[in-house]
Amino acid sequence: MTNDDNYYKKIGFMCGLEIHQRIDTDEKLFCSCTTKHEEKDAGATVVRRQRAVAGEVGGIDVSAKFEELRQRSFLYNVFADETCLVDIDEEPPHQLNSDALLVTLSLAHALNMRIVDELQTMRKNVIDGSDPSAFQRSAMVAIDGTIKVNGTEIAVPTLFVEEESSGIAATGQSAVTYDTNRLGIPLIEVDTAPTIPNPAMAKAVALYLGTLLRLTGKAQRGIGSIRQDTNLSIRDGARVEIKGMQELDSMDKFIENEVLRQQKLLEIKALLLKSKARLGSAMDVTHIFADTSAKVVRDQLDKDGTVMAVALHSFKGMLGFEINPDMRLGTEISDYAKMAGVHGIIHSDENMDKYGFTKEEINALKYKLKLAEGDAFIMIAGERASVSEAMELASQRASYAMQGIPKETRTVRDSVQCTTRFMRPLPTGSRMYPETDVRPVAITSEMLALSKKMAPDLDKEMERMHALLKNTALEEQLILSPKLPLFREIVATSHAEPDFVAHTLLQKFTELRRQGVAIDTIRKVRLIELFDAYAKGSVTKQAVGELLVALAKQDNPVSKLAEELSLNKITGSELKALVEHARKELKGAPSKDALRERIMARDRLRIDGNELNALL
Amino acid sequence: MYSEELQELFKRKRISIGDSIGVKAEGVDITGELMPRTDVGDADTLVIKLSSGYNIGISKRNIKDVRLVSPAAEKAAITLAPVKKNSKLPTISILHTGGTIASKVDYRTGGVTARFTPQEILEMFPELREMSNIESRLIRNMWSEDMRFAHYNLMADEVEKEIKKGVDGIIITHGTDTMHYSAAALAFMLEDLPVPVILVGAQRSSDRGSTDAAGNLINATYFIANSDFAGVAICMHETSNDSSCLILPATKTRKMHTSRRDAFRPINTTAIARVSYDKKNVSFIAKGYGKRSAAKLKLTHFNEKLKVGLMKTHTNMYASEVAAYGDFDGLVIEGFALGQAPINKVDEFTEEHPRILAAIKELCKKMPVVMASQCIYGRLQMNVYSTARDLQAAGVVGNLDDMTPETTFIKLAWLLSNYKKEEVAKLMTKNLRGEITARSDYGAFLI
Repeated sequence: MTNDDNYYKKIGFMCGLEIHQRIDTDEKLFCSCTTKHEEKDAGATVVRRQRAVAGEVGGIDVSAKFEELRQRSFLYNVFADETCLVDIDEEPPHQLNSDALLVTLSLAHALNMRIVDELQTMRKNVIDGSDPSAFQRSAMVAIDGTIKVNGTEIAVPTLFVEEESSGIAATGQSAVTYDTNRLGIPLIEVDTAPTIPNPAMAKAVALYLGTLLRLTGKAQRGIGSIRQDTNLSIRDGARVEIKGMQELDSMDKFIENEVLRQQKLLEIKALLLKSKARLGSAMDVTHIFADTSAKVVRDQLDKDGTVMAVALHSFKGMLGFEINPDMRLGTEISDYAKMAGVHGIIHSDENMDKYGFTKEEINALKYKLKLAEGDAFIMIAGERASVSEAMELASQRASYAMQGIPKETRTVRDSVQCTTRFMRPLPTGSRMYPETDVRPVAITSEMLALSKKMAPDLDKEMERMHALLKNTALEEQLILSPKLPLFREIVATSHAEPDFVAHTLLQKFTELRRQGVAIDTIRKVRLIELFDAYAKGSVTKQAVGELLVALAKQDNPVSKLAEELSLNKITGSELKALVEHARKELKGAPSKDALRERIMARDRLRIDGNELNALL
Repeated sequence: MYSEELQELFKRKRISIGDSIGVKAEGVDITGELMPRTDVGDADTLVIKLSSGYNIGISKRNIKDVRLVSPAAEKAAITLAPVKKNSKLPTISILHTGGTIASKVDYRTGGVTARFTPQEILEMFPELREMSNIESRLIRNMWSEDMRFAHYNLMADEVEKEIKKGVDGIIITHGTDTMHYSAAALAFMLEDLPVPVILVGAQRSSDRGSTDAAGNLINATYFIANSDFAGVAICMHETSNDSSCLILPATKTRKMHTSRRDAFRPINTTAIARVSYDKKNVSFIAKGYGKRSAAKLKLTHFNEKLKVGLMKTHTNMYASEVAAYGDFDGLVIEGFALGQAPINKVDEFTEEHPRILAAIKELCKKMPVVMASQCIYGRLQMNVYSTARDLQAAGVVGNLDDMTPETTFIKLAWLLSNYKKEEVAKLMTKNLRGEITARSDYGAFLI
């Protein structure tokens, strides 16, 4: 089903990608802080509030207003070398980083785009607090590009250079804490048109764009340094943006599940319309549960909380309707309620005995809500202030089930099942206004010429790789791999054979990762030391694997580890002595094989087989 | 502004700013809204807003064709519901003078030049109405760097009008660059104030979600509604946090940072009070402060024609710099440390210095010349070194003052406006509005 274009055409499948990649410049996009993002401890924390404001065209952004409803405080961790006054909204931005712009321009060439003549930096309102200024600076660099992936042409209408947001350090009910050292690192955003024909192609396009970005040689590495957000919808459904997919491997599965979710929600809509479903008005039902022993309510009432409930007429069975693996309409409604700080909802398609409610309590509730056969209810318990807000949000979502599918930004709920959850309403277009503190940048012919020279070129890269590697199977694998820049650096500095380096980084790494070795934590300098030691002949090929395991456990110099683990290569006169010793041990005239076996049994990891063969 | 050539083109095509236009250029065919050209960037580059909200620049040299797609839509006028007065709440007048607190990007005219109307500010900060009946009007719309003595008179007159109406307090929104000058000026002009007059500014404009205007305005309102303070003060952020503000003394406060929201600091004294709307708390820090009373306001004005100067001493100075103030009515010298200036001939390189002393002496014959310290913190002591003793002998006054240079300047101008020349010198070193402290508090440094 995955690749059946006809099927996806029939359901009105629309899908586009937004790829974000951090750029490895020395300084941030609008200040001179380092982009290293390595400091662990914040030196200070500032507390801020944010408000919804009107965008350039006058309207207040829906998602911005939604966040304001949550009345949160934002705490920003400040780092000594990686945060400055610009990051925490205490100083106007400096000029746009020219290196970041050049890399973005180079990518524009590779994507066959029309570069703008003058760059205009914009402020894009963000009120989830991830930016202390309440906006992200972003500039459109180029438009109207195309790429060809697996024979299909995909339009790339826009390319941006922008600021990275802060990383979330902690989330509480009334406050969110952000680390501002990540904030302001340059980010490239590439968007495709919503014409990707099926989920498998989405994955292929993401892989292609990710590779081009890496080929700029200026892509930051590490977790979160690249993000592939997907926008999709089906006919009669709604545009939904999925964020936070870390593994490219499961992207298609996430997309398939979102298609399924929209289909199921449309089924629910049809059923609700047919049964003329409607919502009652929410009411305080605390008194009904004053003596309840159902823990979920009892705990809240003991803390002076309240309970509210609402009648959902003709909703019976709909709240428990499965829309994705382990997800029901009730789950969706619950996700909205949670935004107000409650634990979730209780609904009538659930087993009330499980919660510990008595029949009398439920009957009293049904009586109060005037429920008939075929009706359902939602109940929320929690702090007084949160409950009424949560009830409003839950009612809105329940009511929307009769209209269709809300436009949402969603994030990963379960990375194994590949399901998502509501994060916030999809922002509307009215959240943009000019950044007047930064001068527009004229794109000069010098900049165009220089960036053209830097442009990543997939075909040329394939040729180069072909010349470098003997094993052709590794070529494409390496080019598409995030390890490519690491490979290049190791080969350039260590003199180790490229094939061995490629094989180790691709196959050996995967093998060790599967065995649970924390292989990706090994620092680059150690890897260079290791391949250098191998190239210089101080350790054998076989010992490299053992040393990788050791390095994943402790970050020590390779020479020290080899010494400690007795993995230094035995060579020359030392090896000769070993051979002589073995001859004596075996007595008579032992065969070459017997000798080899005897010697290798003891020191397999320390001896180069070819050298030994020559001596026998 | 666009270049004349582009303006000509727009005229020919009947295109105005805000219209939807189609642009065909080298390698591009787009439709978008024509944006105004701000004062920066290339006047020959069209700025087009695309439907995504992004602006891009397309250079005239690449343009093949521009056409009008549709004229700008009329913006619906925002109608604001009339506000009912709550007789239980105090009435506060907000007088707006402009500045960052009232600024926003106007994409029709370009740049940060347009301002919010008072009604819009009320809409933006609904908390204000919960605490008080707000009356709000614009008395001027300007950046504070353009303030002149005439504006001080205007503000004081408007304050007097409000007090006559019987309001419980007044907030003046003001640009931050010279807010400490205005605060000092109002403190001298408005004697025996029966109510609080609080100046409020913002370091981040009100059109940003992160604006400090909200906290400053809300806390100022909360302070007026919940304290017995009367007099002129400034209300700005206490720290980089949005959680509290300081009520700062009008004559002893200075903007000490170009951009931080906690830029306003008390100098040589403490803040009057700390106020936190979040915690619903006002706590007084100063030992004594003016309280509300039935006192009758005495209003004095500035002489708008006065020429008063503020000259900073520096190394390698020339006498002609001093002589330039020859036709002024008064001068503040922002001297070195305890009150020194470069007036000693110590070697062959310093022959200019006695000429500087002579020039100062000449000025002192015509006008009051008052010392202040460029150290900002600390007190003048012009008896310690012979240099300052020589300056005193020349006629420079101000010894033992601990006023900021800005307050010294404002005080000199106000005294010159209202007192005889002979009295001015005497009054300069007499504390009138809390501008001079008698004791130098150990804790009053870098707070």
